[in-house]
Amino acid sequence: MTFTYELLWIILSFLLTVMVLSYLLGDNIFFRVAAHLFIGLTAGYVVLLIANQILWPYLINPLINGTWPEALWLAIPVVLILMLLLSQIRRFTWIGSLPLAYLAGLAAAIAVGGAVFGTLLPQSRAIVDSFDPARWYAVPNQTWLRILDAVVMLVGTVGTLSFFHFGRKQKTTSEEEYEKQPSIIEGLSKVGQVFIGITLGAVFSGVFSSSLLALIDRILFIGQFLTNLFRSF
Amino acid sequence: MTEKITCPECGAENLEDAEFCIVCHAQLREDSTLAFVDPQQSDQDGFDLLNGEEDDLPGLLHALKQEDEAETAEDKSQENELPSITPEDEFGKEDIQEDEGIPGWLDRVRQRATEEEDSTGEITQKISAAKESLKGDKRSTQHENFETWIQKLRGPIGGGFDRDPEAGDSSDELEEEQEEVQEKESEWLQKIRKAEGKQNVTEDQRILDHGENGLLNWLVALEDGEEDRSGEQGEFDIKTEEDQESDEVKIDESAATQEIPVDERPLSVRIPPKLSVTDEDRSQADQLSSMILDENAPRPVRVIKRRSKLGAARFFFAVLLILSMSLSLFIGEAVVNQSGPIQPHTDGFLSWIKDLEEGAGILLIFDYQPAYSSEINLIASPILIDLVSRESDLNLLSSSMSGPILQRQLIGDIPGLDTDSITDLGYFPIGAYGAFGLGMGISADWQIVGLPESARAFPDGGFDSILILSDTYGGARAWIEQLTVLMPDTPINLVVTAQAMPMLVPYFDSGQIIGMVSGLNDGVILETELSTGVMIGMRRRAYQGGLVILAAVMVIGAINAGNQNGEEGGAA
Repeated sequence: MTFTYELLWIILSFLLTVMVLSYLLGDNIFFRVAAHLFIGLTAGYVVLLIANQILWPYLINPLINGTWPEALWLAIPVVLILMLLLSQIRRFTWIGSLPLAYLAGLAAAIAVGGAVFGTLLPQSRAIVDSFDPARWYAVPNQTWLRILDAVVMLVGTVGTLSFFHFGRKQKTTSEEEYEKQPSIIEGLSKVGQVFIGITLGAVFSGVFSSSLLALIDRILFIGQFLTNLFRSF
Repeated sequence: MTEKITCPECGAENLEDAEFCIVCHAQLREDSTLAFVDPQQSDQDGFDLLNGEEDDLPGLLHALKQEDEAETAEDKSQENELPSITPEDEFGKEDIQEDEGIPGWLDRVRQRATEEEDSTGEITQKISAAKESLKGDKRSTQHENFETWIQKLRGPIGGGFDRDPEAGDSSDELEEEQEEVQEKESEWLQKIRKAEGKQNVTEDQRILDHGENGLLNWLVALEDGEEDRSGEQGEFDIKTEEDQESDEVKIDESAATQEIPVDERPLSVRIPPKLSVTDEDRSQADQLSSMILDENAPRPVRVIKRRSKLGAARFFFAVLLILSMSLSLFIGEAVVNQSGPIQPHTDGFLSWIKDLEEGAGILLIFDYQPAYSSEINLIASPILIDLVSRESDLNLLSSSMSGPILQRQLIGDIPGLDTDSITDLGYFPIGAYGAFGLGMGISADWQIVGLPESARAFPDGGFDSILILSDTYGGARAWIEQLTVLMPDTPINLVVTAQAMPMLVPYFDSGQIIGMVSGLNDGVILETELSTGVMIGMRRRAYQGGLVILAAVMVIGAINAGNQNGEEGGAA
């Protein structure tokens, strides 16, 4: 058995996997060492990744090799970066408001725009389209199934939206009346709770499935390592 | 066994020969004088002092006092006639007056008493002492009341400062004495006075503190304290707890004297007014009392029960899970891939990849973490092998930090892959920003030297299709929302984990994506349909065994939790 560079990494991977799995016996020094090692490696890796993949190709290299007009354009992000750095000093905290406002505004615009035009409107249109008779009769012998699918989709969507309905009466006579929603919305929100519960259950089963697959992969790795190790001797 | 005598006054037992009670010092026997007086000689001679009603000492003293008053009255009557009469003369006169009716035995006793110094008996001595005490009581009545007596006591003490002006010559000497007193004054007492805020202590108080007679100091302090307290009570101030505590502290610090609380309020004030309690007040009081009782009630200590048992059970099930999956993976023959029912989104994905033209430009977006790389790789490997076989132009873009590493790992496992046909577009830190920037084609007009290929990838590249590999719903949604709006004509497909799939199905139903595969089942379907040679069957068998064990563990845990809640509810 030759001791190669790849074998070293395999041994290290095996040891770290066993150290993490040792948490089955409770919190111990091996698990903590492995966790701290991963955290430290991740931090160092992120710094190098940002410098190598973001700062150098998008900022420093164009500044060095670009023309003056190009450099002026790139001066804008440089100034924003410097303002963020200066904001870490207590006397100049206010300076960081401008770049943070720019980032927050941009994120809000992108998120809201994406949610409205990428999710809400297409999903709503899909519900409307599901009641198109042409779709119902597109596949033979599945007409009632398509209709049922469309109704369930509509009820689930409206019920879920009703559950997250935050509207209240503007003029109320008592606190109980203020807390109570309109009866229609109350009823639909109850239906929405059922759909939300089913969805969260499906998500939970997916998490379970993904975790199980990750465990299978690690067991397979350990088994293959030990098999190869015994075969080599 | 000796007999004991019971005291007629207090009932205590005393020795037989004891004359006085050891407890109350009352006389235990009949008067010794009575024994001394022979009953035979008494002979019912009419001696009033020893009649049946006055056979006790108080009665005897009362009789003597009456006799003394009678004698005093007689003396006053005789003073008018005889201005100067000596006691001896009075005694002789008394003898003369009484000689006529006095029995002979009494005369002999008196005669003997005059001749012998120690002839007076105990009773006689007590009588004499009682007479002296009565005289002393008369002197004490000169103090009409306690206040006047205190004033007299204070007079000579404080009089040093209110002295007669004629004594002004000696003021210098007195001041020197005061300075000496101040020097002798202990430091701790000065500290206490400073702490109490009594820095301006009057000279009277200093002298009182250093007086030789501690009792006088106490009495004067008591008098002052009563005056002060009476003034305070007149105001009816409501003291807070802090004030009460400070008062207590002051009392504790006054080591020399202690204030004795005396309630000098009139009786009408001391008696509280009659309370009128309504039903509402009563209910509130009941609630308050019940609340206080609940707060003071001993609460059961929440002990972590069966921690060791739970830990052991957890370890047991984990070992069982690992062993069962290990056996499924390493023991037995290879399992042939068996595909199950195909979902619409999986069918859409298969249709897309089958209809894909050779040499098509594909954008691969890596948006997953290393923990889910095994699942993603398991599904994506058959797809990539098929794409490579179609000589597709692959463009790799990462929106997760570990994306650059994971894409190398995935691409490196693909056999027969020509690295020249792969374009690395780099890393975009935030998926939504990157998707928006790429979709908007902002960099199309930019001609900055040195910008990476990804900055102008969309406008220049014109991808035929986009394949997003993601492990979370949020990451995939960010890309879908931006790209479906900005690049509506480019078909989007998803390779996601099982945990992200349920929330992404609506995007397939709405037509925003044309296909999606996720989880082990879809991986098996892909392998079966594409026939790339990736063996998933063994993993699927281990996966199914693991699911059964985990389901059993969940059921057992739910039952155990229900039993625990029932026990805790019953205990509560």
